[in-house]
Amino acid sequence: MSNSKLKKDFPIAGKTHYLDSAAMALKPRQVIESVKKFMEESSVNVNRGLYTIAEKATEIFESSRENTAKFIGAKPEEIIHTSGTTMGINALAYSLQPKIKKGDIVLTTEMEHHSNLVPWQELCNRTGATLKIIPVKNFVLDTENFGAMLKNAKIFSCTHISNAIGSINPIKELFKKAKDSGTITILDAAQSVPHTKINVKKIGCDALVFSGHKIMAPTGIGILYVSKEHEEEIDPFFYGGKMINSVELKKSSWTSPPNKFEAGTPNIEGAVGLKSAIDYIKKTGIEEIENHVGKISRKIREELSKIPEVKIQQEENPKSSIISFTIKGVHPHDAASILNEHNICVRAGHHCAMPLMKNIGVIGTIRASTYMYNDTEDVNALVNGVNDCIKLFGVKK
Amino acid sequence: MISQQSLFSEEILYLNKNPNHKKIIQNANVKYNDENPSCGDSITIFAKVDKTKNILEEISWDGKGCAISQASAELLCEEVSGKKIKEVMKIDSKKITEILGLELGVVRIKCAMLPIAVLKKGIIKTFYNTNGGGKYEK
Ligand SMILES: Cc1ncc(COP(=O)(O)O)c(C=O)c1O
Repeated sequence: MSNSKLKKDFPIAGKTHYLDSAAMALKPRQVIESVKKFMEESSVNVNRGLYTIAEKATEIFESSRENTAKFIGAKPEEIIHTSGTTMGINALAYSLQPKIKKGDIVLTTEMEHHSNLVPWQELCNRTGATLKIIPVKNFVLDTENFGAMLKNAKIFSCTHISNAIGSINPIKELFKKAKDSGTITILDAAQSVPHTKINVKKIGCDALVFSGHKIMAPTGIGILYVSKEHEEEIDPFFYGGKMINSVELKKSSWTSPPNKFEAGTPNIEGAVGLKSAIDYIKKTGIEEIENHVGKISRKIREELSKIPEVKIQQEENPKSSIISFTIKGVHPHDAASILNEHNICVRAGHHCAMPLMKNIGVIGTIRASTYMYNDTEDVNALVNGVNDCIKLFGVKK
Repeated sequence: MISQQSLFSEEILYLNKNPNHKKIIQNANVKYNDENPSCGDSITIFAKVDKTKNILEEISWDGKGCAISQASAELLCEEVSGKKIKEVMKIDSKKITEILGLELGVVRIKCAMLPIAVLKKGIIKTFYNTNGGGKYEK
């Protein structure tokens, strides 16, 4: 993987030190061009028209589904288009509701993005089920009581990688235990899909969600994978055109998955961009991306660790693309503003994980996150920027 | 690359290191706390209001937060002390950015507005007995 050559594909990467890919990945020209080309040549509705361009559009749309399926080791009919991770989780919380009754357990963790916590709180409020939370200790899941917690657990929804502190969860092991006790397993793969080889069968998840925008696709497109066995039996969560078999005035029946779950005109441009983004990842090589991201993130952590005022707020030997840290005497938002003045883009705050911030005892952290286009120039810029924060504000340790 | 005015002028930094009004007024008749949930900034405003003259006689603040909210709290205290309540209630985001001497984007303006928002809510809550959502009328 030639990083300097690749960087040229990303119009924004050349203009700024972009270290906020965990929030959203930059887009390469190939993705931008694919969407433009589609809009110029084939942007008509899918699954409806009988004319040639409509057939072409449908073909392109469905080929994106096939591409995504292959990318995560699923079948095309198991791939449902959503608007993103948040919609995918909410959709599951509604579709699974008929299976949940008072006294059941819904299990998640203290490490989740709010989007994998609040929908379950609400499902429990609607059904009388009980929400149980796997605690976090020293930045990792404390699974000591996991076995006991699985008792009566109907759903276990867990993040693969924490967006706030970058911890990578032992997901295969946890899901194996959960499945053995008959629990439905859901993986929030928003932070892993961009640079980790994902195979839904090997992971052992019944459902998986991610957002297109974090893997270089446009916003407003996301994926909900639901394994075939569950897909057949769960209800749709959205009703309207495209998802029906037959409609009478007072009752209707649904078509088979995945269309059963895709009421209304889908985000076709989004699917086109997603296909192109996945092609870009394949061409670059997911292992190469993973290696590069691991190396550059390690370098950042190494350099920041040399600064006495910096505290890395992560597990020991972190391996993910996320570098979460605080600077003594500097509010995370001020640090982000100062870094912005150095033309560096990072995220600061609670990262939509307020309970986790409380757990680690901070109001928020500064989060740098890397992707394939980052290089040592970005590392050096960040280190300089952090030193400047300390010069302006810092309290000597 | 993107050139811009620094948010961290010497004045802002000075106010952060040397806050004059960061203290508790024991006999304050307005005491109100609020926070900005997006960044965890938390500000408590203490004020002594002369109810008959409708004048804000003395004001202080306490709390934690970013440099912008802290500097804004300091400058607000300087600005409003001795002012008529009616004038205090008129202070808007334009006035606050003017006092701070900064151009602030949509995110940071919330930091700057926290102290004045807390003060206004405190006044409304204390003297008009609503939750602060109501419109101030003299
Ligand atoms: C782990 C995780 N889950 C869920 C989300 C929500 O994704 P979206 O806002 O694209 O729906 C994010 C995005 O920040 C995330 O990092």
